[in-house]
Amino acid sequence: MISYQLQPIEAQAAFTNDLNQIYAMHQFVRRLAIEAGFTNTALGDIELAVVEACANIIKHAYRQVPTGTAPIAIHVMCDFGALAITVTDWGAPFDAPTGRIPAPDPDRMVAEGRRGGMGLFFIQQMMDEVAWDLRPGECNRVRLVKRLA
Amino acid sequence: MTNYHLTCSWETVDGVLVLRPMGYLNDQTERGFEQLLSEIADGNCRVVIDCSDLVHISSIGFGALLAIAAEYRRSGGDLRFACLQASLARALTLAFGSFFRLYDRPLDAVRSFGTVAAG
Repeated sequence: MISYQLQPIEAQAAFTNDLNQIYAMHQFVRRLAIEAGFTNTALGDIELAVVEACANIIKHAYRQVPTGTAPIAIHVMCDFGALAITVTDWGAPFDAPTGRIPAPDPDRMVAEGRRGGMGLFFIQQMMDEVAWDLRPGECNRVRLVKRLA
Repeated sequence: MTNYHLTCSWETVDGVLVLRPMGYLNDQTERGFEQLLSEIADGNCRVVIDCSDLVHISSIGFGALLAIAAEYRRSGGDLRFACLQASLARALTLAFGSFFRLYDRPLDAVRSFGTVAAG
């Protein structure tokens, strides 16, 4: 069956810097992505990217901020077959990657005892477009776009 | 409010531990998962993760699986996967190439240990 999304979808929600809220964050996006027509693998891709983006904000941008006290805003827009997710925080900026992040070296990770540091790689790999808009002293935004195949 | 959970069931098939986690493997659950796996395995380093009911794995979860697999390999065993959903399988392969061995069915993963041992 072929379905068409005739009306654009737009919604936004506010959360706080609590890892326990990531479930609610990706459920919010997931519900809209399903409504927009995304299924199976694409849904999983979106879920992984959103989880990693939000976890990065909580663990890094809001590293010095008490849990549950700082805002994270998620805006979702789907139109013309593309789902655009914008996640905004008001925490510390970071050095956004300027190109494609190479895949991690598993042997090196094991040798170094490193388990993390793959979030940005997964975000780039899972989404069709990723763009950061960092405004020191104001806010940080990451825009994730996934197109319907 | 905590919404994340990870519970596990397990069985031993032909000397291979088959673990079936249900839920999320992420920042909140990976330590508990690793501890539980260590207790259940009790020295058995031939383990299959049946991912049929694994909803999500975060990058931290992937990192934990990498560390566990490396530890098992040093002991002559391995950590192998079955029934991993397509998106997670793709993520695992994109990140780690052919480091992990993925199978469609748990029994195929179990048998792969026998094949390796015999071959």
